[in-house]
Amino acid sequence: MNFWIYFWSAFFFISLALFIILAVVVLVGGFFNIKSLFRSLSGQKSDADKADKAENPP
Amino acid sequence: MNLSSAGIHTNFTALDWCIVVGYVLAVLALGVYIRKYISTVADFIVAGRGIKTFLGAATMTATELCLVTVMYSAQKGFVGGFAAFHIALAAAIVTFIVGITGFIVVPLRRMNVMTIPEFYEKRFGRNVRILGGTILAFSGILNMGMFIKAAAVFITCVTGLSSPLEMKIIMTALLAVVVIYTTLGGMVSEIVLDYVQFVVLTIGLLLATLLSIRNLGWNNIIETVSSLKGRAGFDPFDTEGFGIAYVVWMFLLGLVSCAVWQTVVIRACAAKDTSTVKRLFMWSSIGFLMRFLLPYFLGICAFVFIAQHETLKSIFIPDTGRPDPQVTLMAMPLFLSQILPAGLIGIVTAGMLAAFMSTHDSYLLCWSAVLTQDVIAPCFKKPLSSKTRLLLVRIFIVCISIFVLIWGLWYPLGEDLWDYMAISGAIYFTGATALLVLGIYWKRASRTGAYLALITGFSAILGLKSVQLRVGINIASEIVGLSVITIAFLLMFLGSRAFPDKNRPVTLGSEQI
Repeated sequence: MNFWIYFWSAFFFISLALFIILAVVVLVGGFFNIKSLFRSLSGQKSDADKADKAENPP
Repeated sequence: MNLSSAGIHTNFTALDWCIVVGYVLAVLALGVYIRKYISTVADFIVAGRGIKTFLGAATMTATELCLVTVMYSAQKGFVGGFAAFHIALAAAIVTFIVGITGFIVVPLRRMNVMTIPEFYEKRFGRNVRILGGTILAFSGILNMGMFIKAAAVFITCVTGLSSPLEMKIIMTALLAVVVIYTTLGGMVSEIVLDYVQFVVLTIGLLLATLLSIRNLGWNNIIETVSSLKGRAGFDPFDTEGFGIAYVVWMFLLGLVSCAVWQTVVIRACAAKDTSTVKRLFMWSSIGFLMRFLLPYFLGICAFVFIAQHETLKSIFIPDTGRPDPQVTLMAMPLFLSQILPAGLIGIVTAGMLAAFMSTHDSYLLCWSAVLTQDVIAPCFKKPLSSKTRLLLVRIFIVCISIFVLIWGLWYPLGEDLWDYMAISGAIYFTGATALLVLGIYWKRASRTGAYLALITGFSAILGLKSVQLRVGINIASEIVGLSVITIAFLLMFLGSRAFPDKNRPVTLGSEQI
């Protein structure tokens, strides 16, 4: 049983440390990803609007 | 169960209510604001396929770290002790392997599909898509039908609300918020909010974990589990605990939850390209690990806390027989309500509600998209316009929400919640795993084999205890699940050999199979 106690203890704390690192990386990286997503969606929307205007002039 | 009559009072205060309500309102405002970025059905369902690695990892973790997972995982930790950690380990290993190899998910992304039934059509034809879509939506909607119930148990225990009417009003309001922002913003709002919720949840869970260790003490946790549960509390192969069949079943579920379950696969389909898909799964393996590990640990801490409290011990850990699952489900939220200080408990509750809403919106969007794209649209000869599809998705979101509310909150369920959820999921994934694996990697897989595998999946319902009682059998659910998936693979193989398709080859993205 001692093997499993040591194994799960080490597993838990290593995972916790990894998760903290992941959280920081994803937090920072995700913020820039969101900015880029909105930039790309805005670009697509304005392209679609232009195409609509070209097809259906006022 | 009224805990205040047993002398148990929550630390939840007016400040915590302000935090929770403020958070929900902020989420709603964000969903409305994001609406202006939506112009096509692809924007709505897969965010214009513009998701990059870190945002994808955050949203995948947030979607799958749902309140119902936290609740049942904590219950598993409470009942199984440290041995339950093997489920988290299995999930992480399998997700990482899927990330390295791109198993299933990369071919799906290459095909540019939005849903798994769309793959069925490209590989096996339109009718398989309609059948597969119907089974998937049926299984998924039933599966999510119990989310709201789990959320209700959590809120009751943490806030100390004991009136059933108050609970129903709160949960109805929460569901309304989810429906509004999902209907308005689709995948884009969902992804941004998942990111916000990932942040709140991560901070909340980490703080709760660290506080639990500080208050209970690591050595005390180990010693209490050791003295009360013995070897079964640590060794997952111990027959008095989980046993080897359960461990194998968990590895299979690890594969299903990261590569076959539609709500995760839709993230792969929304990724920018196939290399992003691989990176996304490798990073998410840590998220998949923690979505189980932290709640298990909180469940273990709840066990230790309750074991050292005479009144609670007599309720939660009776000397005679196995504790009632409906009672052990309440252990983790009760523990949090006792151990977290005012203010922090509000943040953790907001995080948990975030988890509920995050998953609920993903599932709503996912099943609505499946019903629109895979069941309704293929029935029309003329392709439906983007506008009509968007409208249909939104109508389904509202209809499913009404069903879920009635089913989960107002309908008195007469069976064990966990069995209900596991079996409702297995109805879909046992057949779907065979279709995906053989459909992608075996060029001779045929339409007949696909039908046989999908129909076989239905027999997973035999894992439900109430069905077993009616038909007079008693088999562990992991044995039923493993048997059904084996039979599904076997029948698909035999059916494909006996009745091969006449029209081949089928193209899979840029490759030919």
